[in-house]
Amino acid sequence: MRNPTMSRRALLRAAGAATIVAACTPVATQPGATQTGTTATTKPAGATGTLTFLWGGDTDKLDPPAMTTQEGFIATTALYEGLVRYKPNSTDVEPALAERMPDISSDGLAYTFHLRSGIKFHDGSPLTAEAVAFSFDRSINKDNPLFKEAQAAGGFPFIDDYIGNVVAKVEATGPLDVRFTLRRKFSPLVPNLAIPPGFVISMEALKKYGSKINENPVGTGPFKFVEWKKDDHITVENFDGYWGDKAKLQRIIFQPVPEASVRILKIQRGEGDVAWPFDPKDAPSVKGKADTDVLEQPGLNVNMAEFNLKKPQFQNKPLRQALNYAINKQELADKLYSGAGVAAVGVLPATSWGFDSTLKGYTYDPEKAKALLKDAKYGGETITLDSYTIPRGYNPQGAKLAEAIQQYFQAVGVKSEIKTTEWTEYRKIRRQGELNVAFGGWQADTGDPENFLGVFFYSKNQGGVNTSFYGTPEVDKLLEQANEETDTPKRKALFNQAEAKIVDDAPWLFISHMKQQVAIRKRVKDFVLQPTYIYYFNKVSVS
Amino acid sequence: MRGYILRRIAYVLPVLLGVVTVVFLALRLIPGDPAIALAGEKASAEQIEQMREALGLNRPLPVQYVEFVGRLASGDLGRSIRTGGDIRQELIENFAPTIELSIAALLIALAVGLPAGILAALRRRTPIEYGTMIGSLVGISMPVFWIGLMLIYWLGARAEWFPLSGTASAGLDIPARTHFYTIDGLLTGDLAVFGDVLWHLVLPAITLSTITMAIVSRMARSSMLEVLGSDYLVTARAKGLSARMVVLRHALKNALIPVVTVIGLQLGALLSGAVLTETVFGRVGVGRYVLNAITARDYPVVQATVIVVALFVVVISLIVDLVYAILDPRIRYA
Repeated sequence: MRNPTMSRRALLRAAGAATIVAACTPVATQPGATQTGTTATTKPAGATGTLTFLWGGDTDKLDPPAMTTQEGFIATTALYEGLVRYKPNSTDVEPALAERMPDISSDGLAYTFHLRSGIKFHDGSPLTAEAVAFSFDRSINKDNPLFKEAQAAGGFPFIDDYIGNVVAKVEATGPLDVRFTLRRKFSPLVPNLAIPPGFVISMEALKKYGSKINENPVGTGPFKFVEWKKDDHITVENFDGYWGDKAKLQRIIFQPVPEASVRILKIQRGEGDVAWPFDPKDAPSVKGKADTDVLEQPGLNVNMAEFNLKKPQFQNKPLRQALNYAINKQELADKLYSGAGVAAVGVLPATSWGFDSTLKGYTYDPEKAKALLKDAKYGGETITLDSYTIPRGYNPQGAKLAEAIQQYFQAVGVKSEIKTTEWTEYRKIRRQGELNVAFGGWQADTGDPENFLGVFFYSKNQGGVNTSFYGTPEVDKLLEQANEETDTPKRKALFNQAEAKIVDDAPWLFISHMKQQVAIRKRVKDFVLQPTYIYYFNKVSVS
Repeated sequence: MRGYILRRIAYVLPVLLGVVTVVFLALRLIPGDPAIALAGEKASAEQIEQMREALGLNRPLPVQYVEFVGRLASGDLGRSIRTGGDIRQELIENFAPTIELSIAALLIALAVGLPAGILAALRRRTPIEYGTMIGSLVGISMPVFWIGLMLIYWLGARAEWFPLSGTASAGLDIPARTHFYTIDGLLTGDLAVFGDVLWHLVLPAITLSTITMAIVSRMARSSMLEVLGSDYLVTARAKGLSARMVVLRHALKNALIPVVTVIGLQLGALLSGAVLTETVFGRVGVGRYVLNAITARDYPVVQATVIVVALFVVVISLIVDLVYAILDPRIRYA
C-alpha cells in the first residue's frame, strides 16, 4: 500500500502553489473575502450592499460650482444637496434643504428660502442660513477670498450663467432664512439652484479646506465622502445622520471604465451594477436579459444643424422650411442612431416641462419640400454642410450625420457639399459666423426651457451660443416675459409661443434628441432616471 | 570612460531644450483655440476672453515661451486646467503605475522573447524557428487595443480567469504610499490585496508586451545567428568546447549587446503603448492621464507630460549607451 503522505518537497511545492493562487485571486471573487485592506465602514441600521456605477471617464472635480462634467454632477448629487431638487424623473423642482418653495417679493427681486431645521453636514456642523449664505458668497462674490483662491484651480466657469449674473447677494436674514437679492427678474433661478452650482457646502469645511474642498467634499447629502483615487474610483458611504429618507445602500463606488464595450461586459459579468453611457449597438446584449436590462427615456438634449442667418443664402424662409421637410428624422433616429434617437419636432424634448405636444414641426414630406424649393426660387446652388469631426453626446455619429443629410437633400434635388473641421476650430469659426449649415446640439443642465430657447434664440446671445444669429423682437419679448414670470403654467404658455414662432421660422434643421440610456443589473431596485442626469441614490437598493 | 559619460550627458541638454520648444510651439500652433476648448461648449464670448487672459494666451509668444522655460527650470509644471491639481503631484501619482506596467510588460517580453529568439537561431529551419518568426510577425502586426479587447473578452469575460478592467478590485483600500500599486498592495500586509493588484496587472502587461516581445525575439535571433557564424566561435568549437559552453560562455554575451539597445528603445515605446493599454483596461497611469488631458485640451498637462516622458526616454537612452559602452569597449573609443 502506498504511503498517502506527501514528501516534504512535494508538500512545500503544494503549499507554495496554494499561497500564490490565493494571493492572485481577486479579492472581490473570493468567498468571504477578507476585510483586511478593504475600506472600513460603519454600517447604519438597514443600509446594505454596494452599488458600483460605471462611467466612461472620471470627473474633473468634486467641488460643485467648479466642476464641468456630467460625472461630477452624478457623484456630487450623492454628497450634496441644494435648497431645491428635482422631483423623481421630472424637470419640476420641489423643496430640499428649504422647507418650502421660496417667498418671492412683489417686485420679483428677492427670493427668501426658509431652511428645514435640524439638518447637519457630514462634518457635524449645522445647516444654518449663515452657512448657506457663506457657501453662495464663496462662489458668486468675486471679492471673497475663497472665490479668489479658487481661481488658481480653474474657478467656477459656469456659476455666472446660472446664478452669478442675476444674484447680487445672498444673505442670512434669520437663523434659518436666506435671502437672494436679484439684479433683475429671473424665474429660472429656482431650477438653477437644483443643480450642482446651487449645492450647499459646509461652511466649516470651506473655512478648513479652502479650494481643497475639491478633495474633501462635505455636504448634507445621503452619502458622505470616503475616497477619490483619480481615474480609479470614487467611494461614498451611507451618512447615518441624514435628515431625510436614509439611503438604503451602504456604499456607492463610481468607477471609470473608458472602453464602452468593457463597461457592458462588466455589467454582464456582475462587476458593475449601472453603466452609463454605452454604445446603443450594445443594448441588445443586455436589454431584457435574465440579470440585466436597459433603462431609457428621451434625453434632455437636442441635435440639430443651424442655418447661418447672417448669410444671404439662408435668409430665405421657404428654403429653410423645405430642407426641414426633406429629412426623414424618424429614419435617422432608428437607423443612424440604432434606435437610441427620438425624432425632434421642435427644440424642446418631451422630457422638458415646456414640451408642447401640439407642436406640428416638419414631418418627412419630400413632395412638400420640392414645392417649397420652387417657392424659395432655389436654382441649384450648392449648400455647404459644416460638420465637426468628433462624436457628441447628442450626436454619437459625428460627421456621419452630415453624410445622411446630404443624401436626403440630394433626393429632393438640392446640391450640397460637406466640410468637416476639427472640433475646437469649428466652434471658433462658428461663433465668428463663418459657417453655413452648421451641425451642433445641446445637453441642457437644468430642466428649464430657458436653458434651450433662451441660450439659442435670444438675440443678445448671438455670437455666443446663438450661432444661427437668430433674433426677432417677438421671440425676444416672449423669452423676456417668460424669464420674468414666476407662474409655471403662464411661463409654459410663453415658451410654447416662442417655440412655435421659432419652429415656423426654421432657423435650424430640427433633427433628434438622443435617449438617455443606462445598462443596469436587475438586482438594482428603484434606480430612477432623471432628465438632468442628476440621479438620486437614497431610494436605490441592491438585492 | 569618464570623458565619454560627460560627452553623452552634454548631448542631453540640447535634446531636452529642443523637446521643450517643440512641445511649446506645437500646442500653440495647431488649429483650434485652447481658450475656446477649455471654456467649454456653453461659454460666452466674455468667458472665453477671460479664459484666454487667465491662461496668459493673450500675451506675445516669446514672452509666454520665456515664462514657460523659466517655470520649468524651477521645477514648476503648473496646474491642470481640467482638475485644478498640481501637475507635478498628479504626474507622480500617474507615472508610477505606468512604470510598473511597463516593467511587467518588459519582463514578460524578455522572458518569452529572448529564449524564443535564441532557440530559433539555434534550431534553424525547425518548427521552433518558424513558430517564433510567425509569432513575432503577428505580435508586431496586431494593434495593441485589439489584443487587449480580445484578452478581456476571452480570458476575462468568457473564461472568467481575470478581472475585466481596473488597477485593483473596486472598494479595496490601498493607501498610496509609493503609488506603485503592487508595492502599495504588498505594504498593506495583506497577501490577498497584493494578489488582487497582481491579477489586475496580468492581462494589461501581456497586451503591452506583445510588440516588444516580437521585436526582442527577432533581434535576439538575428544577432545570435550573426555571432554563431563568426570566426571566434569556430575556434571555440575547434578547441573542443561543448555546444552548450560555446553558446552560454561565448555567443550569448556578444549576441545580447544589440538586444540591450533595443530594450532601451522599447522602454520609450512601452510608455507610448501604455496610452492604449491603460485606456482599454481602465488602469490608472500616465497614458490615460495624458489622453484625458488631450481630450480636454488641458495643455499644461500635455506639455508637462510630454516633457517628462521625453526626459525619461533620454535618460534611459543615456543609461543604455553607458551599459553598451561597458559591454563593448569599442564604443567608448569610437
